[in-house]
Amino acid sequence: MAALVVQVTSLGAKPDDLTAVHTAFDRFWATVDDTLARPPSTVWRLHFSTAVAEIIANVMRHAYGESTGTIQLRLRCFSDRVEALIVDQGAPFIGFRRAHRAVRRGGELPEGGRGLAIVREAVDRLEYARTAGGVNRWRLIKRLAVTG
Amino acid sequence: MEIALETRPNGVAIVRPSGRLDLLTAVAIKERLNRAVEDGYGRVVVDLASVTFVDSSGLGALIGGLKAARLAGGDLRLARAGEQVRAILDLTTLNRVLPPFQSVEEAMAGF
Repeated sequence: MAALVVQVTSLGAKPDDLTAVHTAFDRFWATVDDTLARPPSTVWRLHFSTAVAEIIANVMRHAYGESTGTIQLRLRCFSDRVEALIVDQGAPFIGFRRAHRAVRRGGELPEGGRGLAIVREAVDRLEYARTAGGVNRWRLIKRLAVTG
Repeated sequence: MEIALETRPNGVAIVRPSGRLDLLTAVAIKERLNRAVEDGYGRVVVDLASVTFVDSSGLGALIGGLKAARLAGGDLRLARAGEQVRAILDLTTLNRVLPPFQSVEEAMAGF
């Protein structure tokens, strides 16, 4: 099944490059509105865009740290789902499975470790892979509501 | 980021950040909240009317401020949270710990 909307954005790896993520989503949702007969709700979109921004912030912090680099964000809308692919050439992400449990170690009110937990609640699928060529690939998928 | 501060004679500090509470700005927010508490304003309202976005770093800063306020015998409350902030507070169930009030006045009323 072909994607109905495809949008690719390249951004730098510094925290203030996060602005480009929000701008990309403004454009993407505008196109989705013009394309889908039943566009997703505001809350649905906020969950998805927040999850993507969370992963990208994670990449900036862990994959690149103090060094520079670029991050590629590809957003695709299909008739039944929206997908984000985030690609970077930084350090590998270790502890993918452990990370979402980290939030419980902080005691009653942990300040950190919430990022991946938010992503898992916000989207239906989260995948991470590191290729042999040293590339990190994060994929997020959220299914669009089926209306009868 | 711009963070405005207003103090009231009743000892409440109102902190008003603008823009995103995210990886870039979380440290500044947390420092501002800690400083308000250190300066003797244990009761803090964070007015989120100008905040467009919060992520896990931003939430961590708010939780950090809440802990500091409570350690000082006070509390921290959120006011005027926008759609995205409310959606994420609900998603994380932090709305139980930091229920968003509709106005600064309502947030202060409970202190």
